[in-house]
Amino acid sequence: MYKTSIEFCRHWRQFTTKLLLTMKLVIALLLCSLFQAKAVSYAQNVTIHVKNASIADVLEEIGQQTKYDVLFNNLHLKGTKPINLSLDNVPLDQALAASLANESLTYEINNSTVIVYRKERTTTGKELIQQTRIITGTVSDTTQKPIPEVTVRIKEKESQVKTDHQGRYQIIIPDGGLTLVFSAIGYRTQEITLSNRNIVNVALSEIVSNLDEVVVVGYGTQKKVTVTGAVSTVNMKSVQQASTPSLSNAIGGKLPGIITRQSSGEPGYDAAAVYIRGFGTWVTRAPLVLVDGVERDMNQINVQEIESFSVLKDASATAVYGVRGANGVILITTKHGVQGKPKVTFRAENAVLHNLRLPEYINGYEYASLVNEALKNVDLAPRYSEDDLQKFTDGSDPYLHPNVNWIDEIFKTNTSQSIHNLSVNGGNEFVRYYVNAGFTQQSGMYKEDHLNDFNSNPKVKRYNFRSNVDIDLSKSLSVSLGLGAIIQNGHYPGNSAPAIWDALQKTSPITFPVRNPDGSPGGVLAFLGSNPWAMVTQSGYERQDRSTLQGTFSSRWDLSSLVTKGLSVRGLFSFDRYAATHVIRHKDYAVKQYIGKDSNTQEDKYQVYREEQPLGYANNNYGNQALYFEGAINYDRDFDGHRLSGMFLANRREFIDLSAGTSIANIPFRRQGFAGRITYNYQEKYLLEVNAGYNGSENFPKGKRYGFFPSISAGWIVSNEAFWKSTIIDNLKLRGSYGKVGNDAVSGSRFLYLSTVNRATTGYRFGESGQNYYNGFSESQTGYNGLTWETALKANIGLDINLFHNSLTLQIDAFNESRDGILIQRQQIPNFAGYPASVIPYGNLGKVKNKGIESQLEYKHTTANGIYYSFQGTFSFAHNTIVYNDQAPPLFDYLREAGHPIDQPFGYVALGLFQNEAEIANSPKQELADKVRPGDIKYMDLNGDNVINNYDRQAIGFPRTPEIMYGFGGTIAWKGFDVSVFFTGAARSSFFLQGNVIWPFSDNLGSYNVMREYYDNRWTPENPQGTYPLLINGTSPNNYVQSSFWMRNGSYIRLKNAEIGYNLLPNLMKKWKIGSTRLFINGMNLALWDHLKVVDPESNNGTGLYPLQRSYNLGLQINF
Amino acid sequence: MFRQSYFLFVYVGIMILIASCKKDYLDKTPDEDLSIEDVFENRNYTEQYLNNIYSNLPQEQSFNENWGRNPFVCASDEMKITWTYPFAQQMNAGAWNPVNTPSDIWNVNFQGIRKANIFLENIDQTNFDQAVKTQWKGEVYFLRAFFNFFTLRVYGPIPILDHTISTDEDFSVYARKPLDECIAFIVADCDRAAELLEVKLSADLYGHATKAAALALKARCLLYAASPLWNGNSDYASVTNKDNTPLFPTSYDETKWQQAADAAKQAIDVVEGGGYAIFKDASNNPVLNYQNVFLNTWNSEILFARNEGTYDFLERLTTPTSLGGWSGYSPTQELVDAYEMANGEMPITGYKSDGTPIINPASGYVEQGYATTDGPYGTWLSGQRNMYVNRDPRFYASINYNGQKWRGAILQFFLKGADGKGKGGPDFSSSGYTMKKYSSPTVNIPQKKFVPFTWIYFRLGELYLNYAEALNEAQGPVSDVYQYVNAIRNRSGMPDLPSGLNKEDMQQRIRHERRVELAFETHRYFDAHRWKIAEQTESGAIHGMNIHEGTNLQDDIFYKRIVIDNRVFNAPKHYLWPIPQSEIDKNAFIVQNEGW
Repeated sequence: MYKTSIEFCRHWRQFTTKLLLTMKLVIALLLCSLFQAKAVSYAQNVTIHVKNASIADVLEEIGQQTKYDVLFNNLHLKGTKPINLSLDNVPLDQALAASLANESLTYEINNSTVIVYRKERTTTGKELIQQTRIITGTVSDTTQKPIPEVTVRIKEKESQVKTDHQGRYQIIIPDGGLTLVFSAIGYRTQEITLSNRNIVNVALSEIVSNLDEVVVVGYGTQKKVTVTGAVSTVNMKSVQQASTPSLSNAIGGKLPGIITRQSSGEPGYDAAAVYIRGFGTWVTRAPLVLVDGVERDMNQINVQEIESFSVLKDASATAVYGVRGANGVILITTKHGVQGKPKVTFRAENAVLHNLRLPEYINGYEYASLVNEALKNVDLAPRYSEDDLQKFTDGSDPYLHPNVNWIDEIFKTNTSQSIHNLSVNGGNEFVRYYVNAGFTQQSGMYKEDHLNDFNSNPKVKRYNFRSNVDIDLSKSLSVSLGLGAIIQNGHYPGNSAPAIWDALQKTSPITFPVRNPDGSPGGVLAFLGSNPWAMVTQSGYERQDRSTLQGTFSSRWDLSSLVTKGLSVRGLFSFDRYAATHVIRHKDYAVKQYIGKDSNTQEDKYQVYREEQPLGYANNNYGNQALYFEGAINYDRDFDGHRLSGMFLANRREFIDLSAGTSIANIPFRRQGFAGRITYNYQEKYLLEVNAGYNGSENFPKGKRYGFFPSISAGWIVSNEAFWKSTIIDNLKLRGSYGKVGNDAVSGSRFLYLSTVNRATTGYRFGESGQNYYNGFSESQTGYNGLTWETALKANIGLDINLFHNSLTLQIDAFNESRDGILIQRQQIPNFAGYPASVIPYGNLGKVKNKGIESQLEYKHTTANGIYYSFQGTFSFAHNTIVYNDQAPPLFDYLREAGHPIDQPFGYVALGLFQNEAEIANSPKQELADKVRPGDIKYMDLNGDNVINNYDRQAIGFPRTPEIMYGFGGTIAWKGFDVSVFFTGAARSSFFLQGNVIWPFSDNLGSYNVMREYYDNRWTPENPQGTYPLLINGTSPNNYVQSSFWMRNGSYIRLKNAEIGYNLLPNLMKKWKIGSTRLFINGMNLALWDHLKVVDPESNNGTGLYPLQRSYNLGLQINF
Repeated sequence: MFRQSYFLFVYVGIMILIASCKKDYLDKTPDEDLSIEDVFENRNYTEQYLNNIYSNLPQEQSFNENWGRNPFVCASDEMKITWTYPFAQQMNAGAWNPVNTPSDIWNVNFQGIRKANIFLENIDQTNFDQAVKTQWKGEVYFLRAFFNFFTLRVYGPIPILDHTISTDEDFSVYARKPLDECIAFIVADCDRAAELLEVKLSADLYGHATKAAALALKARCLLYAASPLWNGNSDYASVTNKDNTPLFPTSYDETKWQQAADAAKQAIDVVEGGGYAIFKDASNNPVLNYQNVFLNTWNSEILFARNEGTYDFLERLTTPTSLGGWSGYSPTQELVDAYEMANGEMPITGYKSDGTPIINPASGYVEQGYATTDGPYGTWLSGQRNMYVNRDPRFYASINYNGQKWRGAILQFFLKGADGKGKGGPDFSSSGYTMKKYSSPTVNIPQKKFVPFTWIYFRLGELYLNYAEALNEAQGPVSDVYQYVNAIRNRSGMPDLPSGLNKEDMQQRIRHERRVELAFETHRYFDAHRWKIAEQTESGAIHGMNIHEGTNLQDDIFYKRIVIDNRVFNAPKHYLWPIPQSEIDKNAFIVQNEGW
């Protein structure tokens, strides 16, 4: 022990000095490579001062200074002693001689190459050069990333070398050497027959299903071949091609079983909703997300920091999470250090963002004439004269007859985003480290007013720091400390995006001008303070400063030598702290209406509605913290082909909302439990696994708190059987699992078993003045002592198959899930019993079935002439059906929700538009409006009572969240170039066009703009082919209701991202001692094929809000 | 080796400490939490519980929102609301049914009843100040009666709950109770409350229920029970429970009128004995005598009202747009025409088929032309349309019209006017009038200057008219009938009713008086229903001024009566609301009303 720590200290010091040196070097190199493109010149003189340096290092230094290639065989330097040198500006010869003086080594100089070799050889250096060849080159993977530690062997001889950390090698080929063999763990071995080339660069392709590959599973890792549950992982490289600050926006279609929908592109609020295998419950549907084993937000993690991303889907994989596992689990691990010299990766990306599908509204003339048309349709006089219409058209009276395109007024065409990351990774046999600093900046799309001293465009800056250090205290004991700090500074206009969007939609092009003649914001009283331009640029700003600290300390002790072989214990403690301050500097700007010039004085006249107010000030603080402990015992041992492993774990979590508004909300949220796993396999043929979680949640009464969630799974690797002779199918595994998982999350409610009193409820005013408000007490929740979690019984069968020398892998899973006891409020308590909605007790009442299928296909191949190509595809389908939701039996059976999916839309069934009065007279009476006109929507009479009313609604279409999501794409790489594309798509999803801008004048005449989509396609008596209904001078209760008329197919295919990369001048980089420099251009959301055309198909129902963006991203990645 | 073992101990120790599952780790119940039983242990908590029961009283001044639980003003012939979303619009279009009709009235009143029952079931188990307990119990009996009556007047017979229902009960035993049982239950609660409560409270307790409130509620309840809709209405003979119990009395009982009259008289005598009186402004200006009943909070006439503090919502809803409001409460031409001339004559006696009025030549009413002189007390200005000249002073206190001076501005409801529809946007008067009653001249919306507001549920003026109506029905136009109606008219400077009216004429006079005096107080809808005249008043065309045209105040085209609404009323269906379909879905023993 004593010795260990001494050694550790020594190494630590060495490690830190080295690290500092390296950092200096990195900075120097960066400056060099970025600002100087200098030609290579041979400096003949050498200055060198070293103590106790290895000859190899000295020779390398000489080579670097003189720009000569100094070649030597490591075998020849074996056994040489460290040397001390102190040379100032001496010629190359002298330096070499001094370096080799004490050893039996000599050298030859040939052109720009120095060869160092042992003296005792019979051949001289010159002969050596004549007889032998020196082959140099770089070994990289198919994406041009250099691979260190590749063995380069001469097939015909004994001699071999290894590549350095930049993937470079040099090997002296003795006479008779014909073939080089390149081999590395995890890569397919490649043989190259030597021609007369002296530079041989090789790209090794990864072995797809490496037998040693491990995947991250619940509370541990497993060899991929032995996994029996439904676990999918994604190659982070392909996720990292998406230049997005929010991870959730990059994973859709990349993994089987994941369904995502991104409904907003607003910086800081653009995260997609993520579901695993759809959803099977009404209450909290989100999966459990663990980052480094701790519940954390996945969207705060820098994509570049991520080492692995696993999705646990079935009961076998999630049972260890017990009451938390039913919605699936996402496990993210951040990168850790790998032993070796410091590897520095610098990645810089700058993107131009461009709004997608901003709504297109009509112009002033069109709007005014539409107002007249609406009046005409109800036999009223037009509001705007020909003269008015002319002025709206020609802009001759811009203040009293404005024609404003508000979209253009407030939105920029392009904005920017940049993501920079610098990471260092390395370590020695005692300490390994990974550190990363990331900077992400995303700007919004709003225009700014440069006259203001505040900037109102949204801008989010995020700084991510992460450091993972692993220390081996002894051979058996290691500790790790992971620290993450995330600082996010957001800057927003003084109004929220929803408020701005509402104003944007509400304000017609002719309501008022952007600015009055005196430059003040235009306005009228009826739209007080809702000038979109002023809301964006004149309303002050909001600053959101959020910081997150994530600390994880863990240790592992291998007790193999102390207790029994294969036994280890480990512990983990984490502390997360989140703090946010929102400073709101809202400003009420002046609202004045320009009413023309005074007829006498010719002065501009204004009606003032609101005086300008100074910037307000409000400061809101939010904070929370989470503590997590975990202790585990692991056992893993092989007994003659019988491999047995076990895991037993206990954990506890406490989460405190530090800024809770009520004392009850401030009570820590606590959970604790146990988890266990036993796996057994026989010769990797027969696999058996039992997982179980036993955990508890404070939400439930004593006796109902702890639940036991077991699962069992088994697998058969058919291809490992002796009888398996197929040369096509390399690997064939059949898997199956069955088990139980739970979900205790009921959004927003706590201690559901307690009957409580709300002590800050609505009160009443008493007293003569009427100003004295007296607080009230009321029933808050009705406790029910029988409450417990919801359970999911999940069955999964799966098939893993690898074909054609593992170049094609296919994974297929089918699942069937039955949720029971879903915590919902009881639905059948009559309202006359007097329970307010919030007081109605919960019950474990809901039942939902969820089933689906998903698969993942991957093909990778490198041709003989070095062209690498790959294809990946994923497909996910999940369909749920409500079995029971306690709905009171409705009057008509088709109104029942059971039998339909969760979130099933209900609406009228549209039969088209009425074309004439006779058709109206001959149809059932539509009671939705007092008058039905030609051009109105005609509905189907579902109950046959010859009246259309609320009873004539039925299930139509699909829920908004798609049931099918898929992704496919591929990569081609050749000679430093690589091109990738990736498409995602979704299907079985319905979208409802709805809201004031597609339903013209639904908030009355003159309020809300109108989408061009409506304007161009509306029904009029003159245009009976029109596809949108007649408009009238106000809302149209007949037309503006949810019906199949407004329903659109929400399916889409997106070119989600594409990338072209190029590895810059490998030779030059080698000269500069840079491992590789890759330049890439990628784009996100590049193309879209869908049915909606006017709104993004991932939007929420409506007409679209803050749009998604297309990005073109230029990036550079340098590895040292 | 020793050190390693030592370390092992420490390590395992820490692991155990970390991972040991303390059973009580999850027992962290909120230690400061209360149960309902605990609430009644404490006087202060009990009082706060009582405060919350009061909060279930409707905010009837919000005619537009379901939470105000008052679509009735805009569903009656006195008002048209501009916006399309208020539920009254669906009622007026006849496009309502058991599914789309908001159930807020049903829900919130029954929630209030449950709160009251919890209170009554627990209050006796506690042992603080008996006098306070007695007072509070009285208030809660009153509140329970209030919630029941306010549900009953909308739906007719309802389930009567004199105790709390647990969530696990068999709900099928709770069917709707026959109407007379409902009335008896409400009256009994009123009597209990009256017994326990003071007639008038000290000023700091204004807003709490009083004996005056309880007796006023009882009087109104019995008046409704005696009225044609509920008293032997053959339309409802077929509405029976599943066990064939009829829910409505099938035969007419004339004595119910006398009961109603007695209750009203008792109430008047008690409250006047307790210091309440018909309000008159210190200036005795006939306009202000009436206008300030609704602006002077807690004046002598108010029997039960709700404080709203400094209140802006009603002001915004009704104030014309040029003054910063939303102009949404638009009184109908029908109501405007109903205001008598100052001489007590009706200006208009009917309408021709083209909608033009038949003018009563004796009234002095002039439809055309513009005034040449100003009226007294600033009631009208010269240059205003003659239509608005020399009317009942209550007209000037209740209605804002084109050319009226209000808060310093001359109102312009014509198309191109400052308050006209032509300026665009959803906010405009749809009739060319806005409601002035309840609106304070001192309010300034752009400057956010508002005043305290109370909504009056019961006032002495209504009791007078209740008494007069019931007494006339029971005994004919005896002197008390004249006395109480004239007291109301005289307060506003209107002449006495002509003497010698027969019972039917007097009935019409009283009904007319209620329409004018109680305008916008949520009475018109229920009066029209209980008198069974809604099929005339709430059906067909509703008129207003021609807001779609007009360029100046004296533009004749604006003063054309136009149809602003075409209302659908199906009798007997629309006389009562449909029981919410969800209630019937949940409990098949709740039967639906006639026609739904």
